Amino acid sequence: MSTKRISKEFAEVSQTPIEGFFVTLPPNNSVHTWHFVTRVYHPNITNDSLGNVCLAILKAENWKPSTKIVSVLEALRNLLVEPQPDDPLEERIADEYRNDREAWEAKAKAAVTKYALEDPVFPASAS
Amino acid sequence: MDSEEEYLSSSDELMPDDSGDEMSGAEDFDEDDFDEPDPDFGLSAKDLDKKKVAAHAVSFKVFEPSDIRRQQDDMMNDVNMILDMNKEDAAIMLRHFRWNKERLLEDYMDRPEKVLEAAGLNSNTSSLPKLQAVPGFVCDICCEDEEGLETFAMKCGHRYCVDCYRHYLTQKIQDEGESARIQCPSNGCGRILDSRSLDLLVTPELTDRYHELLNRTYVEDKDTFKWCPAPDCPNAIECGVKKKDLDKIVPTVECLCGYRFCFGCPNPDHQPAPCDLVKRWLKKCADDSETANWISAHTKECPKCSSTIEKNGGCNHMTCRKCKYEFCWMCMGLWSEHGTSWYNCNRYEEKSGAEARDAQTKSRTSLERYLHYYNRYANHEQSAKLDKDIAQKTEKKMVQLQTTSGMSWIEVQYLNSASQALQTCRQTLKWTYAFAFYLAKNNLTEIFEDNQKDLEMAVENLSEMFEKPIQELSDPKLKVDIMDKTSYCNKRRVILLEDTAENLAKAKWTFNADLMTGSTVLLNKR
Repeated sequence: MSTKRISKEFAEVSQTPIEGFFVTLPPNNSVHTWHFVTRVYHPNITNDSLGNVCLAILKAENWKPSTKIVSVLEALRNLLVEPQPDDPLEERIADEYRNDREAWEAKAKAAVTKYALEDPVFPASAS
Repeated sequence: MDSEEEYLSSSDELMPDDSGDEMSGAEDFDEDDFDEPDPDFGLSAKDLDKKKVAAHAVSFKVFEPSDIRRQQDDMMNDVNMILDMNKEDAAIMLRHFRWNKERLLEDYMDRPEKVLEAAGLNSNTSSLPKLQAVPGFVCDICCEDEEGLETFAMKCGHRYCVDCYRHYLTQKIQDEGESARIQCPSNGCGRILDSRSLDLLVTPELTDRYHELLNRTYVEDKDTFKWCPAPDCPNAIECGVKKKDLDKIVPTVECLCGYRFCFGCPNPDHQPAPCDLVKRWLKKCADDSETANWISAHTKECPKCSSTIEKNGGCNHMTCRKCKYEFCWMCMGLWSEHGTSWYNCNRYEEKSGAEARDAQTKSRTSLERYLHYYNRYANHEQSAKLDKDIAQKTEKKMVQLQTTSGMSWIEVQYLNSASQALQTCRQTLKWTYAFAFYLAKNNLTEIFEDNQKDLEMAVENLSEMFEKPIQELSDPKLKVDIMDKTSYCNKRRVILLEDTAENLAKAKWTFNADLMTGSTVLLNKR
């Protein structure tokens, strides 16, 4: 992706930040792949260290070159707020989310205390 | 040397033509095979006169790539004239409606706005797409803002620089194989890119690919169309057989390239067995582990001296190299009991009821029964391959013979038709055994087995003649014999297929209930 575009989008998102996000540029300017560095207990995020995420906007057939990073971030936040158990990556967690919300909430909270309280470690980014 | 190469290449061209003439459709069968109907086959003669179409044949059309393009053009022109919209938009609309012109026109007359919107064509103005340099423009994708940057936008007004557009389209066409439904690169805009805009934007080699993909969607969108599955064949075939009729009819079609396949399922020609049975049979063959072992055993022992023998020719008449014992590969019986009057190899005599009561015997019987049919099924498959090998070898030899003995190329062609007949008949025979496996025993089945026996005997005879050494093949008498046998084989095959197809259409076959459990419903329901 062109550097110009990235700097422009970065400038935009810095000027009008989206709630809950703090955006910095990765050193190698790679915004081609998206995944969670922090483990999240969520139907649409793989429950492993890879943290792959299933998001329609990120699929090749839906991706438009004009899609802004901001829209991806917003879509990600929406997904976190509202999981999509009907289109799950983790079948078991999706079932739990649908059928036993309390248990799911307890486990999600446990995951937060376990993985999400410290500062995230970004791979190969020492900025 | 030169002349030989020429002959070889012309033989390649001739082959498909031959087969095409032989089997290209129902009309041919009428002329060639039903002028003199077999006396014992009177039951279908009047039906034939009425319908003028053989019961086992379906009507179909083969289309070459140029035909497919022309059809699309014709439809676009129609819509263009009736609805007064330009051809590119008409094409998009037609693709949106999966080439159902009537529905398009109807829906459009009802609510034009909504239909246009759904097809990705809102805000219609008819001007040609063109590249523009817009002052003060910044591309939203790459953020370039150079003076005089060439840009493009469809009617939706989302404007991007040409480089970004090209990049996007290359990605869609080359990497994703997308063609008919490429949307505007703008986030959330559903407008579909038309082919004229595309021609303007991309390089020629990509345009070719785009049009090829578009052609493909035309065929894939229509239920009555299918690609010829033969490797490298660009043709498509149209056949109107409906899915719900597949238990009554076996829709075999033949492409111009000579490849015969079933229109109802993804398998090659499997007449006379209906698709459902074929699916079941193939699954059974793949599932049964005994069979897997059995398949690997391509050798048998000589019944007399027990030498291990591998079958390396198409015919069932085996002569043991060691002890010169002549026997039938099928039943391992003495050959002299076969050739003339008594050929009982294709039947499986049901074991007596007393034996069947014993559960163990029962299962052994059912396995034996299965193996009986599988045996013969696989044997014809194998023999067809071997016949083909021999045909190729013979052809080479015939070319040599021509140069030495002065026979003309035309005089050699009878071997091609014989080989073609052997292939087709063996394909049919192969599936008669799968079909017979599921049939319950009754009078109809007897007739079926008689037909099967006749065809099989004729095919084995022809196969034996076909295998004769090359010196004998040039003998004019044998040539006439082979030609006669070839046409006899083809005739017997048609008779068998006719009979089976008619009874299938009238739902007269009784299938073995034990073997159909689980999906008997399927067959009866439809």
